[in-house]
Amino acid sequence: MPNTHQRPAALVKNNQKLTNHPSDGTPSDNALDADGLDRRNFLSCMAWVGTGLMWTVNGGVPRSTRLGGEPPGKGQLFFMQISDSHIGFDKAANTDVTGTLRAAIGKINALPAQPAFLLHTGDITQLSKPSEFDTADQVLREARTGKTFYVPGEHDVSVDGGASYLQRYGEGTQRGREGGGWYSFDHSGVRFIGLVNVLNLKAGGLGSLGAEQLAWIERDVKHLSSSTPIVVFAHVPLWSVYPAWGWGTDDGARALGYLKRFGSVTVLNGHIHQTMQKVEGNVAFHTALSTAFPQPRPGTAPSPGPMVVPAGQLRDVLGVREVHYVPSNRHLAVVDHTLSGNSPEAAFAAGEAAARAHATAAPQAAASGAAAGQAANEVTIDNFAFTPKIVSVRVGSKLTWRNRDDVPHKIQSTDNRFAGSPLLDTRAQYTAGFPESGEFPYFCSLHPVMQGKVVVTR
Amino acid sequence: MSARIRAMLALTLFAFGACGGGNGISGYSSSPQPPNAPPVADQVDATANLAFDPSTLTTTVGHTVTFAFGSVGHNVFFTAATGAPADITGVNANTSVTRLFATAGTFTYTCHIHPSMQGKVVVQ
Repeated sequence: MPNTHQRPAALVKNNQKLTNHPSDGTPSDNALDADGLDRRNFLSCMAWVGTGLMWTVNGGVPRSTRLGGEPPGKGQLFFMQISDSHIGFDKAANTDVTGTLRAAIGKINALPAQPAFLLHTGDITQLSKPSEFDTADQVLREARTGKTFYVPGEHDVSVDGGASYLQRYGEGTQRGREGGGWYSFDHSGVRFIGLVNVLNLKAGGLGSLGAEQLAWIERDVKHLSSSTPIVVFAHVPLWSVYPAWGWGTDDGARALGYLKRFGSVTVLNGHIHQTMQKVEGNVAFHTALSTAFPQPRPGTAPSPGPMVVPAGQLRDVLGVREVHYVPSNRHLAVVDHTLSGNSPEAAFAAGEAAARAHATAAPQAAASGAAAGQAANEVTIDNFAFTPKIVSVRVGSKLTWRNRDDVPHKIQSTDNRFAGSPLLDTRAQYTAGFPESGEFPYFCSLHPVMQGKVVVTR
Repeated sequence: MSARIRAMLALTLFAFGACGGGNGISGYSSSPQPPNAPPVADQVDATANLAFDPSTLTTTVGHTVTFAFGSVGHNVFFTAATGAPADITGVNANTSVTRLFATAGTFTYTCHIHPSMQGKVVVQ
């Protein structure tokens, strides 16, 4: 792995309707008027015009059958992206993540034509447990296509720095001193580049590729013709989606810098459990839905994290992605399918509104709780934040962190001056002793935007 | 209204709102300016449901438009054009920012935090 599939890219005449569209995502108003579209209507579908994004909707909107229902032309490559399966997660946002992953695979298996392969863009598991990887493998083996390419999410490498992930999925991938697992392969004339941006994260930072991987990317594409279509896939978005929530990659722009000369670059990411798309010149960026649970859209709730949607609407916000390579088009055509077939908008909005309502109601309770219930030498982890952010303790005393989030966190000393915690799942706690005075900054090694400080005084 | 009906309504709205024209599919086409829209001040609300309301605002040269931000943070980036006002950068919540439109034209804008949020100001 990865196997190199070399197949001549057959030039097939297809999808003329797609090629009718301006492919740079910025059609002019004139083109618009010529189409007879009013602006409001146009704006709602601008992303689709630019990138081929669309939802398939129950009841058969004609356009969904054009890409989703027709078998691809002879020699035309199409593949599926799945992401963020979080096998092992069992909280309110989805108590059966194995079931929804199985439903996602079932949806792919039910397609009239089978994809060349699947790309899983990370967070296969919740806690990197062998049993979780086993379960994921078992479900993914049910895919008729029989071939899945992986990149890790932070949940897959959080316990052992990626050792067990690499043992399972890393055969044939690149290794560096600081990690590994990145690789490339060719299929139907398209270069696929799988990147790892969840290792060695720095306090206060975002996703990170690191110098070794960047140098490898430069070498990997050096001898390719600029007309080679490129697909880059990685867990954390390579563009700056919402840095306040850690949704971006610090050195993502450097990686994309090596791809500037290529006419067609498609970037596929996961991590944020929602679709977002952006076209910048030759590069089209897409984030995917999760198969496990949604997260709120940027800033619409107090923090990221698993979001509960109204009963019956979970499958509106989970899904899979179909990607077609049409040789004559600049950008790959991307079609997102929710598991239910419904548009996800209503369920996202309902979940976000509930999260905001909960946050407005909660402060009083939290404030009194902090005064009454929280011990002096204690830090709670809630809503992706350490409270208090700066905590004072006496020399020789101990400090305990308690995780109240539905996601795991991991305490790491920024300057390695106190022992970091193991992975702390929901309700887990960790206690460290502070025998010397001084200031001890720390962060969460999974979510490095989360920072805190221990001030130890005499 | 039951949750199911609401969900169906939302789905219906989505289906109609999605684009059809230009693809050989006869799409829903609303009048750009509904005849009985209430007269409103030159204000665009950036809503918690990730929309600019109204998505098209028509004003006249020399008028200011107020962008009103609610509890969810947004920004406003104008597509580069002669006469386009300065962008409203950063993350703006629970505040209002005004922009003067001194030049006739159509000025489109997006929220960079939520790329699906798009709108335009038509200055006559």
